[in-house]
Amino acid sequence: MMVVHVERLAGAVAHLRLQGRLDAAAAPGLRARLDGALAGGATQVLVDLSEVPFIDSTGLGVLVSGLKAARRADGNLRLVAPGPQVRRLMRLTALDRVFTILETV
Amino acid sequence: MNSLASGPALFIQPHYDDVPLSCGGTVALLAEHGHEPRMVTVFAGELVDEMVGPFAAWKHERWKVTDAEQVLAVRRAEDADAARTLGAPVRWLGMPDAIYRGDRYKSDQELFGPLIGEEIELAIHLAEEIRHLPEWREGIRVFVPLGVGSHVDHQLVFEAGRSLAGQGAQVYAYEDCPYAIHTPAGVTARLAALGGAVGEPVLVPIGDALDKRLDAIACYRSQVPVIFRFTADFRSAVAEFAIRTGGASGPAERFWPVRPHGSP
Repeated sequence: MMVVHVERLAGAVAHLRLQGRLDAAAAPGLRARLDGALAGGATQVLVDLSEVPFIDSTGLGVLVSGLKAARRADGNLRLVAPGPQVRRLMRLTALDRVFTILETV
Repeated sequence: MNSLASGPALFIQPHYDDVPLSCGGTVALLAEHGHEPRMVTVFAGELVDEMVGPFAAWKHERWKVTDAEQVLAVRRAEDADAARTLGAPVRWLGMPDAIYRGDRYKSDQELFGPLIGEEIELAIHLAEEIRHLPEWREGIRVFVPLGVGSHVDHQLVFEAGRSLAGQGAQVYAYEDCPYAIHTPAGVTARLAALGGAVGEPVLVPIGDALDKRLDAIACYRSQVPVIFRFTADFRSAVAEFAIRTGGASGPAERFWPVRPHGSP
């Protein structure tokens, strides 16, 4: 089961720290938290994936959807510290071209 | 009752419409008999600008796509309608279509050519992903496209099926329509290319479920004129193909058991 910790940083920055598998079962929960952060006025979203051991394409899809929503609000969604499996799936789907990746917050 | 028309079943389609087009009768039969079949659309991811390279942009121009977001909404609504018509819920995964996977495919020739190394890796990942879907149950029968027509996305899902077969799952390949309808030689060519990867075909007589397949196909209102540009009457084209497939058994759909890599 995935846990999402949401922290509002300075200005319009939201930091979402994910713990656990980001798969088809967990994706709707993350989508709700992303929607909530954006609806609350955050435009710069940082999604910390350092404690996500596995992601599937539905999980990636929610991140793409969140990126689109952030851009519509003139903001951005960036990924922080994805692990090897996450990076691998991003490479295989070519979604590594879409996201900005930060090594730390 | 035919053994393929009973028990839990997961129908994997590369794109919106492949399962209703190819084997919607079998899905409807399973649903009618209370077996609760499920559908999964694999390449149903959303788009952002960076994913649209020169080849995808050329495709969009050819398809007259001006608002990709609107196209996605329409395609999903049609897929949901078709799934409801067959009596099987559908799940959309987040994989990007081949034309949006970087610059791996730069022409139609490549799009219908052999799978390259990274794509085989993606197929193995997809198999893993399917095994962890909420719909997965022990003993569930999995249906994947045979890959007639050789579209790389169809080949990739077939390879995922092969990987699942290697993990002990019972996997069958369906006959990709409309490719099999308008180019029958494509089936022979694909079977020759696959060699021992599939066994002898199995027929599933679908009887009146043919009507549900046709009704489900009709749900893809934006696609029918394109998919069936070779005929003015798609219902007759699909029905005649099903009747020809079944012969004395009446309208039928055809499936091939998928063998794992390394099988004799």
